[in-house]
Amino acid sequence: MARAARPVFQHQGPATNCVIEGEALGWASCTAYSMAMGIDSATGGAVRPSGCKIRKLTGDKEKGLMLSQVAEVALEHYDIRVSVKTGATAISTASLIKQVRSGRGFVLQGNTSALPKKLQAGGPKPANHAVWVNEVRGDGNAPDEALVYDPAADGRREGIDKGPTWWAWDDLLAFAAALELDKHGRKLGPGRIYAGFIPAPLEEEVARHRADNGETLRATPKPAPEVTLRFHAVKTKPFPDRVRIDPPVAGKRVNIRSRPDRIEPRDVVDRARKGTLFVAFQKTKGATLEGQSIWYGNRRGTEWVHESGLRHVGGKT
Amino acid sequence: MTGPLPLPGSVASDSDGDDDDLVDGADDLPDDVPNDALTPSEMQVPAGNVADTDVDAPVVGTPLTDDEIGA
Repeated sequence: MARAARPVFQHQGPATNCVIEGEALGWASCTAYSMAMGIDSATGGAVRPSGCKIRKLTGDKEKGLMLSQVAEVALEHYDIRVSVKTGATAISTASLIKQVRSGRGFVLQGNTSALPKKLQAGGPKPANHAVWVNEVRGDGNAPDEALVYDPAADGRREGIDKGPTWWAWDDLLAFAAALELDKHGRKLGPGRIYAGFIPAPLEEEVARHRADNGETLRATPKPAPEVTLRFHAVKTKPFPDRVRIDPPVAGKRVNIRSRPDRIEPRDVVDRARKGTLFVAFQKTKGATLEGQSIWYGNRRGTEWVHESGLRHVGGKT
Repeated sequence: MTGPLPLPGSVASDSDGDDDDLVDGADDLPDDVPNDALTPSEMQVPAGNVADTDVDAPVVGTPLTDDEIGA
């Protein structure tokens, strides 16, 4: 079982912990602080932005944030594509377990109303909230516990939790299920999760780290190169090219694959919904779909999207 | 750049190939749900004349180990 690198814990409070253009946004920035810890984890500590920096980069100073906002900041400013699983792409609990055990930490959305009092670090009033979940432990069908970095858990006084903390797995699922979807109090319910996952560690990184250290901790990546051209690819023009996912079939999602040269289910690393940002650094000829064979890849050449699933190629998003 | 790579066959589009991670009844769920501002009892500190945060200040600390996190 792999696990993500642990980040430095960041607390969001007090309100003045994040002041932007005179607005005290600390307590309204759980999503930004959780994503900041996720970026720290995804880069093995090589990049460690503050939660307030993420908040500022969203350009949003109104109330709480959404997963899609911080995911776009992670990609555009830190080259980390966060796989957002919400709405029709909300994932099952079984898939969540599979993802986190493969070393993918995640920003989790939920509602504090379902938490035991000792974990309600943001106060007793129910609120939609985000936390960073780094790893789990327990080898059964379901984990026993999850290591949670709740940015509200600053231990500011006795009775307030100080993160990170091992949450009981059932507490985590209850938190996720209690997410309020609208102002009418509709809950997400059990069996589905709203979360944003950092990329899985590269197999070669995990293997190297296992050999060096006897464990499966995500290795600290080297500084990102300008681009690693793979599969006979060339750089995009413009470089990089900010493009948007545009499924050729309405209501479907576009597959993101680990390689462009074949169409096999095992190569699908993610599926992205319409409008999702994808930053293309390279393109190549690969498997043909409806007569088209151009594929666009990320900086490391580890994720590829067929041209039929993109729009704004070579233009402004 | 070389020519096209070997193909296993042509398919119509590259979308939704494997849905094992999806859940039933999710089609009407909203894509974006905002989080709320928390309201701890200690929060009532108006920004007033508080200076903007230096968002580029380094994050202080080190990742905690198992022993430091505790049980």
